[in-house]
Amino acid sequence: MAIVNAHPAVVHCDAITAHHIAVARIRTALNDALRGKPQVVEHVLACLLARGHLLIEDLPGLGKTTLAKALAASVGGRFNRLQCTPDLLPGDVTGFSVFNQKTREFEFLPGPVFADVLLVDEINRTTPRTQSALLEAMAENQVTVDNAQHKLAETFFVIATQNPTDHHGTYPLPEAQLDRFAMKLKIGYPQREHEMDILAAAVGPCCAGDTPAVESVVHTPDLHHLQQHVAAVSVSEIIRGYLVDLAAATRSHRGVTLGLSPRGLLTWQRVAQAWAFLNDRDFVIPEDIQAVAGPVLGVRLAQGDAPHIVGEVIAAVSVPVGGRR
Amino acid sequence: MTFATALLLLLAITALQLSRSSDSAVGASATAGLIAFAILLAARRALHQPLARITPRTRNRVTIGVGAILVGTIVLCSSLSILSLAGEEIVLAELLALAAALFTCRDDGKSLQQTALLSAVVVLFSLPGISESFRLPVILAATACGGLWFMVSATVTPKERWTWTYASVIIVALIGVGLLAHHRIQPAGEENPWYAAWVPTSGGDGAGDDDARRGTGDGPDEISGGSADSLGFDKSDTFSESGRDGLYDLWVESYGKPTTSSDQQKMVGLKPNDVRVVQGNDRENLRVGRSFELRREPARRPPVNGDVAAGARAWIKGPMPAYIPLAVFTDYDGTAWQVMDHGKPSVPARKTDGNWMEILHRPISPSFEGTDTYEIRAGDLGGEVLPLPSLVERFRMGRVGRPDFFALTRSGLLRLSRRNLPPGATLEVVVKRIAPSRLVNVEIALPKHSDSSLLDVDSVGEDVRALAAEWGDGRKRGWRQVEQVVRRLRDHIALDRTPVPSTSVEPVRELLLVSRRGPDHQIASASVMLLRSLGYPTRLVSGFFAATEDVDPRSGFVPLDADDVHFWIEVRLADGTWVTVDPTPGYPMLNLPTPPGEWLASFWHEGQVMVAANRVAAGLVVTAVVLGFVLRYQWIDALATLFCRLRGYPPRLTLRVLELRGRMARRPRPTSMPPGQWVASLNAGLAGQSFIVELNRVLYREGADRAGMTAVAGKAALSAISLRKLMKERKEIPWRS
Repeated sequence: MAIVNAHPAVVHCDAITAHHIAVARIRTALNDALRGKPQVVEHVLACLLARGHLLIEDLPGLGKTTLAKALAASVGGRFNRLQCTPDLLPGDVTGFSVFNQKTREFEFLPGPVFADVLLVDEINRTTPRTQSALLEAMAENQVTVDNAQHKLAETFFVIATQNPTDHHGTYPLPEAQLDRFAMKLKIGYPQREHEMDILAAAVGPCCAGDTPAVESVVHTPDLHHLQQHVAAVSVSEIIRGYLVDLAAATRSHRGVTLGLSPRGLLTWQRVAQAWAFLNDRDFVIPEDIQAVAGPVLGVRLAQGDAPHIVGEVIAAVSVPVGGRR
Repeated sequence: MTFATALLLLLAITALQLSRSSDSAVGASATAGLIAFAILLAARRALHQPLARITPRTRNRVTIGVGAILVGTIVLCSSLSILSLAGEEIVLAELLALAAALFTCRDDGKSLQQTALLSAVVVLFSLPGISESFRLPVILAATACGGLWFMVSATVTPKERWTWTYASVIIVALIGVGLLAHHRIQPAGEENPWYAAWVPTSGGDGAGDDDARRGTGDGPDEISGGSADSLGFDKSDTFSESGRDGLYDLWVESYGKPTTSSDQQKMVGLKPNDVRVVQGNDRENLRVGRSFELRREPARRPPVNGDVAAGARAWIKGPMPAYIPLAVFTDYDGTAWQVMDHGKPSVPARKTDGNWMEILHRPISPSFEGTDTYEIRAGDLGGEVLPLPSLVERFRMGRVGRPDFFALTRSGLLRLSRRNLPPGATLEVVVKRIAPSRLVNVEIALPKHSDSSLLDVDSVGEDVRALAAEWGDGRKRGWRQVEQVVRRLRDHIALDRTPVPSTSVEPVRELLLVSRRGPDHQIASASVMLLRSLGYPTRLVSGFFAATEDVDPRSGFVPLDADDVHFWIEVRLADGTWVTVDPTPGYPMLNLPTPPGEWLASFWHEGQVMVAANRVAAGLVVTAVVLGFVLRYQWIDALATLFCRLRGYPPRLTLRVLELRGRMARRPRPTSMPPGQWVASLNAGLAGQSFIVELNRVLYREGADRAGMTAVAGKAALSAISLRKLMKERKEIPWRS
């Protein structure tokens, strides 16, 4: 639902154009990797620009990992991958200290967390103990190992994938962990023509090396710059009021045991800012908030029928119509 | 089912209105019912949206609350006499209020059933109160139709519904036609029920004598009655004329003296052979005060000086003004009134605690409302008749504890049997009070054979009767007609107490058509004649009138003296109660309350006159109103658009106009939908897109200013999203059932 700006003079033209090109590049790369899912790609972009961590939940084989890899590749920077298994230990995530025989000192061996983009595949296949190792990294961009704090990258970004929680051999993520993610996305089956495209593209290449690797389209400092711009998108007072009303509505809703936390509300605002940015606006409108409500609330109000609850919450709060005449 | 319920509710309201008002106003009560129903429909419509949003439990509470408020209002208004409702009317009105509350606030099937049941009950019990019988079959048929329809739609499957409906309508139509035919065949007003042939009667109606229905007491057929008790003495009375003064002539001087005819005048009507001159004293008519001559001349007696006893004839204490009847006149021969004969010497009361005498045949009438208590001291009054107000329920005369001390005159006045009232006697009495508001709905007795004297107008000419017909015109038979006639009589004539020589042969005619001024006895006589010629059983009453301003502030008593002697009239109700009416100007007037439909009726009438006078203008107004209603959305839209244009299409105002259009086209913006998204959903194309951008900027951008804002986007959006387009695109919203 991109809205074309009919009054370019109103918007800061130059800055937007430069950023727009960068975003468009990432968007194209992701769309190439994940065919027929522009909506999902848009959300992923919003999540990236909002500096939120992304949780992708769906059935096996729908392209979760492909999407995550494409994103990591297009953003550039260091990419690490963590394949979660039940026997994975916290130290395997954060890194650990080993005794260096030469220097006679303990030396810190950084784990996969030390990356610009971390793909945590099948996060709910590992134990809660290991899952919790990611808490500090995701929330505070740092890792504490043996009483030593290690800063992570500025643009540290986690993409986690998980299978639906009712599948065999899964450990559901605790609420504290879920709250660290900005949004949860579902990909869903592609449509017929896109599936045929996928099949057509698979004819010819034999092994992974044959497919052209996705090249990085934006550099890490640029991404950081973009994220700063997103954070500067203005949120007017009535929009803030609308957000707070929505949060209150989630807390009073019957189907929700644990309503939206202030941290969740912050995330929501930031993602809405990113959405406004993606739609070439430097201010947030209610459409932005509603558009990202599904993924943002979906990760927090995970119980049962989340889309339905989100719909009810949005329907229960009336949109403020403010401003001067 | 909604339709049947609404029909029943409408009928219930109309039926209650019709039964409340026995007025002749053309359909005013029906109009009031319709308006009430229209208000209900509007309230239902208005309440529907907000009520749909709240939970069923709150909705129940709202329903109960509305019902309770309505019921409470009715109870409060009737207790404060704002509404004059009889007890059963209050119950019916409360049922109707509950039905209305259910109908307004709820529309599930069960509540509609309850509404229908309550309405049907109200219709059923309102029917007997509807006085115009030709409306009965119509309402009955319509009620049966609605009820049947309701039952059918509640029980039968949709497939069979129409068959059943047709069948029931045909049955009801047949019943209605039968009722109408019966009404046509049997002439109205005939007082001969089918069982009359088996009931012995002397023709009386039991108003004066309970035995009349059994063929023994008074009544025109009493001589031919089967029982030995029925022998009358009317044939055995001798006529005589005495020169002695009557009741009033003894001590009332303001009325003057009855004229006596000279010997020559007496002989004019007799054959010379029949004239017998008796020497000596005239035989006295011992029933003094039985007649009252209207032709009177000024008293020739010189005023009595010095030897008049101090004080008054009687004193009375209690709610004023009060009328104390002392004599009742029924028969009028053109110049003189005759007192009704004394009835049987039966004991009229029985003794209860504290020497209170309770009247045995107490009056019972729906027009009564509460009682009044009076205390009376007899002075130098004389005579047998007790000076009590009418409609006595119980009384006490000092320490007299024997009921056989008292008797009744035939006209119902209490008297002492075989004794004169001793001066200084004290009387306490509890009388029924008549409420004018209740009187409106009480029927006035129809002509009875035995009461021919109460309707006798042979002594007055055609012109007086024509005057009565003119004054009574435009009102249905009932209290309002009586009130109108009396009111016009009061406006027509003036009270003139000076005893002028009045020797006209037809005093009533002269008063009404010639002099238009006269004393109260002539005014009262004239009003009796007027009302009788309209078919109201009426009689003349004289006695004391106790005025409010005469109350002695120290004792609280009103002294009654010669100046307080007054003449008034009484009109009889169907239940036998005599209601006091005073036709003399300046005396208390019978004030009937304005019925609910009265102003509507006058409004209706004036409207008709005005329309008849200005047909073209009325036609134009009606056309304008109809057009205004049909094109109301367009009017509102045009005004709103004009306002928006004058303000230069500011985005927020433009959005308001668009939202107004959406509401009018039944496509309102859901409150949870962002305005931009909503405008986009209206398919306005590019104009909409640019407007949305501007709108969002104005609404949601911090510190948005008007700089760079143009009217172009708003104008384009308003023209792209026209009301016509919205209405065209709107999906049909089915009317809720």
